Amino acid sequence: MMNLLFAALAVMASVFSHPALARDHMVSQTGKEFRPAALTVKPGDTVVFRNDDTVIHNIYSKTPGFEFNFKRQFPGSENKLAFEKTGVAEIYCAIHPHMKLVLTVRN
Amino acid sequence: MRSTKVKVAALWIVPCLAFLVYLFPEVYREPKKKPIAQNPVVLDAPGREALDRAGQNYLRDVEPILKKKCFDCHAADFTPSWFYALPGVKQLIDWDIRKARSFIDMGKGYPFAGSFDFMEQLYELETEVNTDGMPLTRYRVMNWGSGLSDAERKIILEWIAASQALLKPFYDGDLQTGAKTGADAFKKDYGRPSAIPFPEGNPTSEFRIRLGRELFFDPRLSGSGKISCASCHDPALYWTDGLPTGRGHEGKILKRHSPTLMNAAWDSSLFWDGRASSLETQALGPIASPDEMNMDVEALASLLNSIEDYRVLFERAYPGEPIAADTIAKALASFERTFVTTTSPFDRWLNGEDGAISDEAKKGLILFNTKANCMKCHSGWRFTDDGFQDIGLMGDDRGRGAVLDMADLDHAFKTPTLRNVARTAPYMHDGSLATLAEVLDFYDRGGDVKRPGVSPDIGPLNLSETEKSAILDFLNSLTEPKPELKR
Repeated sequence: MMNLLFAALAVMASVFSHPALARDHMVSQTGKEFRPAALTVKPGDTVVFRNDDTVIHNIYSKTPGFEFNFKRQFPGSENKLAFEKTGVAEIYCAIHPHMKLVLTVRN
Repeated sequence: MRSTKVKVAALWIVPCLAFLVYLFPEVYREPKKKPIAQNPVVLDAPGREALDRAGQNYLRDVEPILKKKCFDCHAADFTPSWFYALPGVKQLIDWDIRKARSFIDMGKGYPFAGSFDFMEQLYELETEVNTDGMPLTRYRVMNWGSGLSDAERKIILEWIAASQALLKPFYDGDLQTGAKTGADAFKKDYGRPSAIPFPEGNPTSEFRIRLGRELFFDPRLSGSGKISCASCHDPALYWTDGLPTGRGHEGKILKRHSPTLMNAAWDSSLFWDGRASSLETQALGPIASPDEMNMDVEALASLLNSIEDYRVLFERAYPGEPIAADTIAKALASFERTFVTTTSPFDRWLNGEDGAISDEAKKGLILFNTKANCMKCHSGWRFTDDGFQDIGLMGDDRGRGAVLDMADLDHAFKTPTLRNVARTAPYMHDGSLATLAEVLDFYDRGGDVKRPGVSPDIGPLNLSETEKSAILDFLNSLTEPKPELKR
């Protein structure tokens, strides 16, 4: 019985400590702000950008190595992006330039 | 022996009775409001659309949580446990469910059924989540783990905040939290900040403002010696020039309208295309531009160095720093941050003076926030979100698209403030519309150009003449006395 318990704990420990497990993170666009405004993820993680506003946004990054442009994102819609490289990306809304998200990708 | 049994029994019974006394007084708060059916809040089409959005977000994010934690009492979802059969317990649970569902019934999604309107429901839910008031303790005792986790609390509160922001423009009900009708309903949206923001790298001082003022009105800052900053940003004209487009070096007609500098301290970017991110970076642009003031900035620094009064002023404003591009820009920015609008009739109304604006203007404010869709971009106390939109004006100016090198933003220009808008004609980035009535007609017909980049928020509004007139009355209520300069 104890052996079974230890085996189960070992499996759980290995699952939860495995560095390669990719996760989804949510970034909301609410009140013409990113929430959260700063986010740290691991390489391979996916960030879901959801427009919870009543206005259109246009999320993009020009940080070298992290370039992307979602173009128009309508209220209620989502865009997903996996971040593979480590580094710090600055992400903005092209329509509302005061919206800024600092995304850190590190192990 | 018997005495021992009595003592043991007492040891059990007394804490149990005490526990019941602790549990039973906890009851639902009775709503102070009349039932929703007697006091409905009527929504127009955009309002219903916003409510649908909030409802869809609820189903996706929040309902899975509430299903586990709240539906036993707040929906027809109750699964009886063994203790339901106990006399007294059944009656108490039934009473709880009856009460719970009469207040808020979550069974058919958001907006919920029950005693509250859609906005009050958000408020009630927010209160319970923040105070950890639900589920009731007696429910939690019998259903371990039914309390909300921090993560669940966060999801619910985020949905509530997002929904409140969505629905606020359409809500003119009377929240239990206090009077939220009339001006009070708009205070949060249009309340003014208490202090001017100054950046860390350029904190304000009396000397910096004074130096900036001298520079701002000095035509020696231009190559011709005839143009000052105030030539295009005249305080008597609410920091604009009253012309369709600016006049530059040797009378050159510029391609864009001179934007006002009112409340520029809060602008997140400057120029119609937003190419400057601060007043400090903006200040030297027109000075150095060959089309505008046509002045070499290094030559300007040398010139100012040769003037005794400026040497004294710079030393007082920026002790130990040279007279150079950096200090010239910082001084101009320091002065420009003081161009703050004061009090318009709209602000007086917002502060409780009910007669400060007409009933027509109040109707105009509602239209501004609903049918006319103006608040999508002209939001906040400055009536701008500092965003960039292609609104469908004719012309080949790429605007924001050229700055970002993004074709999607071609023909997009910065949303201007509407403070004193009745005094800052003509309008638009190209000054092509002479009056506010023309501006309203333009938006009412859904712009003049159909191209992929035009904002989907631009489209025919079908405003009646009476409605346009009401919006004009509201826009006129944003006019305040002319800026006064204390020299």
